[in-house]
Amino acid sequence: MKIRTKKTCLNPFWALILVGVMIMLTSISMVSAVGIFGSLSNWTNFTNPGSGLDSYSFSNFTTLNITALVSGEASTVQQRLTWKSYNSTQDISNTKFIIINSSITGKSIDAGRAYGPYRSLSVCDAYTDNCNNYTIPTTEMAGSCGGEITNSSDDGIEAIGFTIPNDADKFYIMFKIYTQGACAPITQDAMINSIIKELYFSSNGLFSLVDNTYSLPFLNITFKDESTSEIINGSITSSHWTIYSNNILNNRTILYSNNTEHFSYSFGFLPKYSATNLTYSINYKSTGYAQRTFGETIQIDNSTTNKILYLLKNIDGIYVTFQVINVAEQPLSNTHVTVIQGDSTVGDGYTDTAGSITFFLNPDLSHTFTFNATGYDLYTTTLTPTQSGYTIVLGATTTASEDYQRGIGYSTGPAESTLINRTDYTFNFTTTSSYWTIESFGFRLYNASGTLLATDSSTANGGTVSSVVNTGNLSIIYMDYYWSVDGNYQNATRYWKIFNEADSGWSIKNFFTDLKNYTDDEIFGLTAASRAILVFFFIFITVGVLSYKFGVTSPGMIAVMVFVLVLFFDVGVGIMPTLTGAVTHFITIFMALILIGVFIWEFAR
Amino acid sequence: MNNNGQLGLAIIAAVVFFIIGFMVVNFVMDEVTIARGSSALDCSTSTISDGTKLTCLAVDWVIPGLILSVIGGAGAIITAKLLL
Repeated sequence: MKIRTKKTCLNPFWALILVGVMIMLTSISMVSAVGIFGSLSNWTNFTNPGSGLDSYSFSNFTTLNITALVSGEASTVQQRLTWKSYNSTQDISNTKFIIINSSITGKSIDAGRAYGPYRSLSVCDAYTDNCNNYTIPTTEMAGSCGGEITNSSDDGIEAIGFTIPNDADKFYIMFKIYTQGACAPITQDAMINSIIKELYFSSNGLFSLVDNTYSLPFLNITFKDESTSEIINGSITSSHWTIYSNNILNNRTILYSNNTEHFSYSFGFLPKYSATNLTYSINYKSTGYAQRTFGETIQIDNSTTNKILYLLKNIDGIYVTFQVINVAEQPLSNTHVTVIQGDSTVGDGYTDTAGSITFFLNPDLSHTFTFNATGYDLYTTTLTPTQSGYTIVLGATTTASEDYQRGIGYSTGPAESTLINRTDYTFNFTTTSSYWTIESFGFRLYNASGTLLATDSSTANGGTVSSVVNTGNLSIIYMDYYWSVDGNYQNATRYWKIFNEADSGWSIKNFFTDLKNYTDDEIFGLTAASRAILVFFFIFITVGVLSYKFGVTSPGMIAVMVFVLVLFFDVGVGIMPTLTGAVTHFITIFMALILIGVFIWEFAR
Repeated sequence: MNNNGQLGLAIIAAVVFFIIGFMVVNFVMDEVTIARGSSALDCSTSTISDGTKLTCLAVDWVIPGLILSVIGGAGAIITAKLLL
């Protein structure tokens, strides 16, 4: 084999190796040039270890802590709040929260950008989003403007009593901290961030049996023998309660059972609760009597509803099964069936997926049966149930129900279904109506574990509500949005999956993304400004070496090389600095103009 | 072997180099994913040490560097024969 060499031309293989070595050397120089360059970085968000849903009991004084850690500009400011609840009457409306400790430590950096004396607390009704707002006194922060706040503490100075609006048993607390707009006088500037902590009162005290001394019972249940109308003892084998106030989205479900037989049960809320709607279903029985089921929806007010539940002795009744079908002989599930004997409701329930429901009834007496299925006319019949089974055929209804979505337009944002982690997004819900008058609308954002992230609502007749949320390291964000028309709530849920860029593959973009994030975190003291200077050196050295090795002396070609590198770093991988207030990718546009100018000059020459 | 034969041999060698190179890249991909994951370097977390971040940046370069090397090497084998 004849081997020839050519020494005058640069071997492409070694040219590639040379470029690779240059890139590696530049990378090493970038991370080794620590501490040389410094600049101010942006404020970062709160670390919020206290966010989440907490059970909150009234039985004792309770202390809550929220620590807001704010870091940025070579300093760390820690805001700590501690408050206690005080309640002597077991009544939510009398609950007071008192801040017993509020301290701020750390230091501010420059005038006009100190962490503010502006801190506020809002206590909001989780059902209506109505808030009571409080501003934390700021006198102890007066010396912070433009200077250091080294271990400043105002323990015990602040004492704010704040109450829960609308006596809500479920509420949330928002703590907000603002940047300082100016020093003299101190003004409020943009909000840095907020913490939302959602709380609810313990359900342990929601029901009190018989001896309810704290709250007026909203429901009294008494058991009677169906045949003799005598009061008898009964037990509740299981029951399912759903309570809510203004927004059915915020309902609470409670399960209750009591196998001890009493002649009556009295249900009230402990402490006092502002829920206004109750849907319940009770399975009840007594010794020698067959179990029965009863359920209904009632309005809760300041009065007591008395309810008599009838039981029938085992020897006096038979089990009767009704199957509800339509004319196509399809079983109709979830059909509401009530059975009345005389003036007493002796059976109540919903058909199962087979369209069937079974009652324990007296075969010697006449009963009135009512069948109510959605989309079908109400059907009532009277019969004496001597057989073990009956089939009820329902015809289609002739009346149309109200369409509460008529003329309603709505949209949610962000438009994309996949979001990037550690990024601020404006979540919004927009609704319009050309037919109905929208009474209220809003949304709530949750993470995968159900923790409330943000909420916004409005009572206007349509419009947009929005909230900015940082995706952080979340995997998914859910939005429950709703609107209310004529007292009826329409709601839906949308979700966004959070895409972690770090797991996106093995692209070279990973390197630049990490480099950008790490320099934002000031790795080895390397900052955004240092990064910009290193990028400049990289472009300068690369173009210089290529020009020297390949003899490229044409201004046009050099301008092309510089433009391509700037385009790559600015648009391609996004690590070029952004000039405040400038056009997006201004540096690339500027280089493009220079390139065009050089070409025009070359051709004109 | 004449010039055409040498060029053909170079092309075959380049293809073999290319295939073997990308097989190696394929093997390394999973390892890079594991190395960058939360159970190892945890590169997507900002609270890791500066030394770990530096390691992450180096790991980020492994796959692109290998791909560049494979493409560059295969291209160099063919181009070298064309220029000789």
